[in-house]
Amino acid sequence: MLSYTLRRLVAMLPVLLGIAFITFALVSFAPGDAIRLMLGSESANVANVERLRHELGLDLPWYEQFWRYLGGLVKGDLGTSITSRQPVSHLIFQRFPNTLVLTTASLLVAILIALPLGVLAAAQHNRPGDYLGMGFAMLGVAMPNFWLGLILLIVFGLELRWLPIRGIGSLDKGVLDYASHLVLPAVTLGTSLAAILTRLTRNTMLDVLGEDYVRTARAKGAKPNRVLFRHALRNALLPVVTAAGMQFGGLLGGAVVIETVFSWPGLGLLSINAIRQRDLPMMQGSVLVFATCFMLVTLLTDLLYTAINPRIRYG
Amino acid sequence: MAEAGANNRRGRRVLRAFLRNRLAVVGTLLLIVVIGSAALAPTVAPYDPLKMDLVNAYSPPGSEGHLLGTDNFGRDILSRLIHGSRISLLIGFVVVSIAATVGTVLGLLAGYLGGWFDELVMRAVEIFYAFPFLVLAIAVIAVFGPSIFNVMWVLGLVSWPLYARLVRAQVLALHDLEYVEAARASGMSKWRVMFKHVLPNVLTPVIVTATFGIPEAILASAALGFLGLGVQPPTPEWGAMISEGKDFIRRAPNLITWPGVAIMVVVLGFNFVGDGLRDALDPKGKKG
Amino acid sequence: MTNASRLLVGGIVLALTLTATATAQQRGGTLRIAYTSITQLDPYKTAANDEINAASLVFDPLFIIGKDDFQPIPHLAESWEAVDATTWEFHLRQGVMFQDGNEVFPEGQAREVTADDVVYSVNRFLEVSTAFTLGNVTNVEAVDRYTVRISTADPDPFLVTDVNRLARVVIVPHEAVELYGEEGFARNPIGSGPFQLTSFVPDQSLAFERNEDYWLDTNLDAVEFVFIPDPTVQTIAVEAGEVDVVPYLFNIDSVAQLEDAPGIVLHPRGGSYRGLGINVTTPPFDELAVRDALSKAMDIDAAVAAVVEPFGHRAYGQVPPWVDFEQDPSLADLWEYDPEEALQILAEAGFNPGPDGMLQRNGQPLRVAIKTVAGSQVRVLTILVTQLRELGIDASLQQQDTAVWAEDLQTGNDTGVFFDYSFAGTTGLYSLFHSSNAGMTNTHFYANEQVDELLDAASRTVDFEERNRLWLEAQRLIMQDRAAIPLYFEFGYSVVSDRVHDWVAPWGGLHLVSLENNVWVE
Repeated sequence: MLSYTLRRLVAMLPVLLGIAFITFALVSFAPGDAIRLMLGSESANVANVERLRHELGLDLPWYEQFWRYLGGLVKGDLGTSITSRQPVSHLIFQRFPNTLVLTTASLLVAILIALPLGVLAAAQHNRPGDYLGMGFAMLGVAMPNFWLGLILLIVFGLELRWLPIRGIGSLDKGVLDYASHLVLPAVTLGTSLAAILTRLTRNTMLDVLGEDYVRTARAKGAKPNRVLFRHALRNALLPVVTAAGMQFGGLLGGAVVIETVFSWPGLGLLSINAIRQRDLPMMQGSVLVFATCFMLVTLLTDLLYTAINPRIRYG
Repeated sequence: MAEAGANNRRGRRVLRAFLRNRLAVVGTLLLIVVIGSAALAPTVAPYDPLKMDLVNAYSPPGSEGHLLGTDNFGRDILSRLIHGSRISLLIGFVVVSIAATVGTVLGLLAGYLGGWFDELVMRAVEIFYAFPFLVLAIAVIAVFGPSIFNVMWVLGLVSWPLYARLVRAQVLALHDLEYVEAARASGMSKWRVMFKHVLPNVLTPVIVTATFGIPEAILASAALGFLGLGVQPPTPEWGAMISEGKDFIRRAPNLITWPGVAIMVVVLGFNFVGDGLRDALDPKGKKG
Repeated sequence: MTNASRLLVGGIVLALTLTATATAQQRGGTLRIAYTSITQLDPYKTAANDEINAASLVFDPLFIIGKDDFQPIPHLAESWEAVDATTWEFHLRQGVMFQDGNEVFPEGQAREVTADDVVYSVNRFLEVSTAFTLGNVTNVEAVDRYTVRISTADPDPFLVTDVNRLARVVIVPHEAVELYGEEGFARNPIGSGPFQLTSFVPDQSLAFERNEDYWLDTNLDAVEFVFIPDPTVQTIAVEAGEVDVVPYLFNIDSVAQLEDAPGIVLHPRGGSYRGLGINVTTPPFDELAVRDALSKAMDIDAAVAAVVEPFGHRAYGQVPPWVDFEQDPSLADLWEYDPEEALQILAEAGFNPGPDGMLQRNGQPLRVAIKTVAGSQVRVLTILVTQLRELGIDASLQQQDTAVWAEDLQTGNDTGVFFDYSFAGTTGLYSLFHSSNAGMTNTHFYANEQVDELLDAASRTVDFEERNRLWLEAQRLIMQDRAAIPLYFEFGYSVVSDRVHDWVAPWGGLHLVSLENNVWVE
């Protein structure tokens, strides 16, 4: 197991290198650069801007810049943001936890909705409970998440004024304040995943319920409820957990849009701004952090899969 | 001869299974309506989607002549939705075509040829998988500019790994099957085996995945449109309409309601059809 | 007492009570300000209004631009005068202390702000600032403890009156920069201003509390900046009571919706010029006739009236009404809407309707592809484009990302007609039309020797009347040359909750406490 984990970790490196290179190439060849944006301002101090260009090494040929960047990466230095002239790692690691919180909360919301709903649907196969579950499953994946977010914002934030309409709460003001800011974004982001997981739970449970040993248990007189919950659920858990882990990438991507709708100060918003301002180091940093996070979660899911399912072993 | 007959019978069986599925039928009808109105947009839409009428801006749904109301420029929302469906559907089909074609070819070659080519393709797949797709799309569009063309190939670029992986896995599974071995033993060239025997079997899951890929592409392009990175105004694109509409949330919330409903309806249609296809093609598959 | 006199007394009492409650300032409370992005707080290192506004709370400038007539009023400098044509002398207020209770100045060990600090700050500004320039400053020196002299190479009348010059230099303590370094100072700003920083996480949280030792009495206990990147959500947040202020709204679409909203007050101040710029080196726009025809082909008055008013009005020149010298009403005579004449001029230039009804010359259609960025101008431009198309001119609107737009315009890349805007006042004409700025701020690539001479002379003339005359003449020449087609001036507004009083919309910095105001909340 350990050697497998190590091998996976090592395999991540060339992928990250590839990502860094692609991002670098993209922004380097993009029309418009951060320095030009500065020069476009009517009151700009041209001499100082040009000096800044030189200080940041932006007048070097692209391969030299990339080499410099790699050198910094090895030392853990993600460079300096062009627009704010603050260290990129500083800015990213202040914002990144917010995205993590959002995605984790969404994951939890998704699981909390999907499991009961999926079980209900399976239990009431082809009856109202099933229609409810499947209906939610269908609608949940069909709704654009930013649209759902806007609707929830209007209803709960503007009309009912139950929840705040923007941003992140502060733990200083109490857990309740923090949670109230987190509810809408997490529910929005978690809904489509909940829809997918609901369907998965339901189908897996129906499968398991149709299996021999379950029918045997029933024949022996075990009550239906216990049958459901003990055997079926435990077996359904595995594919659901795996699916949740695999969908994590989708959550990360969706976080970008949701952060925009709810003014959630996470890595997604940071990346979008960085791109708009052509802030190359900032963009590279956020993309690399995103990718690393995603790959680590995938690895974790795979390891978890092994832990839960003793029949699979990775050599 | 017998083979052709068997295929026909199989085809009819699949069709019957598909038609028995109520949701699949509903989905098909929905799609026929949507695709039909998209194709005939200039005839079906009551107004020119770009025509502004500032006097009648913000009309609520049900106003005279405007079934769904008008937007902040006084443009008819229904007409804009219909024209917008053209864009979304076009993007959906093109993206999936690109991704499926590229992915299938690469997956086929990778699975069949193996070796360094396989390694290369799998590395590429990993790289694109690890990229949070929206961030990559945003970055590329920032470089090349927002346009429908760029949206299409960017989303295609992001989706091909799925098909490549799928096809490669299928190829590897089929590799050792008897009839493939028999075909090789009979002296058929590598390539002919690949195209005559392996490819057709691989196509089924690809088609199903593609049917689901279209609504995914539509949702993705709507997200890009929402962020202002897709088709530029004043061309009506559903995501962009929602983005423009959100500035007028207080005054006219229906500006964002209808495009969202439109997206949902189209996506549901494709999903129903996709489910129906998958269930019909795979008799062992999960019911419902 | 008669009924009449009772009524009179009652009326007087009522009036007095109302006035009393209306002006009764309250001490205390927290002001919540919305912002789009604040990643650092060094005022010399940014052009972003949000960051400048936040930094304004911590530092003091020598003077601020007054709210009533855009003239400088004393702040850290009590008075100043021009010693000669190229030298200004500033007299500092005495007893102003840098904030204490931090790592740089421990509690009780605050240091007084002196002329040496001003010298240090100006020099640092000259070296480090990318967003603003002071013109041609040759020397800064401290004459005595409270007197500073600044010398320029040529007479520079704008040094003190232009909001983007000396008004941007806030005084910073060298100890803080030395202790924290350039990067660190941007995270730990320490100045002599009315508020000191209590917490800062970039684009997440930002809070200040009152500087108890400030040289002016300060009403507010604390100021909190609230992160809301979307301007529409910012205004909704004010309506919902989640924030108190949106400091400066550039989008009149949003402003229009707020006009009648309860509990909200709109504070107008300044704004921007918006117009059509023309790259005069790109054919066929290098021909005056074509440019002239274009200006006559559009009913700009109608478009502006439909979309912009009353939050702006038609512009006939580039210099906005909130700048300190005279407007030239006669400029309106230079522009007229006359589509028939436009078509005739184009016909004489060789443009005639082709088989598709669109004007063309030698098989080449007259293509006007306007590059623009998002904003209220899009609506106006859409109307104008429709008008042009009706006349047979192949006009279209190309909406672009700001970075791409800036690059296209600066490189002259395939640009003919483009949307142009300007926030600068007096120096705008120079930036936009002087040949030395071609390819940078002069995206018209306009080069007119006569105009250059006039602009150069104006920037050196200290006499107000004479300078006025030179600017007006230059502007007239530029407009006659049709280097640009002015569309409108759009007003900028602060969106403020009605629980906030004594608010002054930011202009060159946000000033919550000054000699002319002291913001308080209910």
